[in-house]
Amino acid sequence: MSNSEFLTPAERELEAALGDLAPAGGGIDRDRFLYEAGRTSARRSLHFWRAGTAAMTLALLAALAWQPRPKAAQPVVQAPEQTAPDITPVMARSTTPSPETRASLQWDENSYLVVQRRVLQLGIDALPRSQSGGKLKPLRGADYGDLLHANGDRETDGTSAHDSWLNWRL
Amino acid sequence: MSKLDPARMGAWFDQHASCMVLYARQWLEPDSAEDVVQEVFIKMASLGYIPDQPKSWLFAAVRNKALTMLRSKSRRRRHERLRAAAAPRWFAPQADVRIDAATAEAALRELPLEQREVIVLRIWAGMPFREIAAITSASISTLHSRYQAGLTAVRQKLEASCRTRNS
Repeated sequence: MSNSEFLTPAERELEAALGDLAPAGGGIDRDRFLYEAGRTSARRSLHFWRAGTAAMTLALLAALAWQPRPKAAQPVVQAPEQTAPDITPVMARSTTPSPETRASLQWDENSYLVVQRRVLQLGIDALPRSQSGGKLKPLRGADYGDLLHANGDRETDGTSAHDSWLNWRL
Repeated sequence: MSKLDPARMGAWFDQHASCMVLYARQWLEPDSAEDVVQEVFIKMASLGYIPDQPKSWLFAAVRNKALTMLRSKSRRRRHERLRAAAAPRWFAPQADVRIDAATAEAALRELPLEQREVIVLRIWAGMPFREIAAITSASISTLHSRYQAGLTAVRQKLEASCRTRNS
């Protein structure tokens, strides 16, 4: 019973008679209203764009203000500076002796290493001649020890020492 | 919710504006009532979308705005009452109607506001009682009682007016 079913016939007749009357409407100008409505809608759109622009500007400023700065002391940056000096001097010492070190070395002209290097560079004629007219003296035990001692790091290698002895005998 | 376009706004204006002014005049004088209706339509245009029940939305907005304006203008009410005597009538004068417009207006003016509001929304806005209940925050049975009581009072006043004219 949401409409007029609950009314008496006389009340319904009165309801219909009143409904024949038309509201006066007043002096609202339709064109003025539509103009105002359009202007309000356009202003709302303008507000939307202004608000969006302002929000993006604020976001940009906030991003610039909160940009993380580079830290002054970071262990990642300092680590290579500490390890580099430990490696390079060792490599330099093991591969290239300094000129002072080379000058201070006194090599025996008849030592095995000098003779070997000379023979490798100049050939068999670079071998030193014996003082006994071309005949080699038989090696004694002391000579053999000296030969082994002059062979340096190959001293423990028996085969290498023997080869060196043969070279010396030749 | 679909988007609001000017053509639809214009159609609603043609259809409801005069009745909304009549509704607003239950609380306000003609100038203020027209201002309220204009503001309500502009407010709807600023929404950018169509409310679920546009007609109910319009009349509810008129009611809220009229009551707000009525409170703010309480100091000037006496002055406005004096101006009301020269105000335009509620209904447009018509020749082919069964009830005289001025007599009907006079009868309605004497009704309590609650009864008058229901009669205006039911007869001239053409709203079902369910929508009127949503606008006025009253139950449907209460609205039925107010409506029936209002119609009875109007009929008695019209009959009294006819007897006075005949005699």
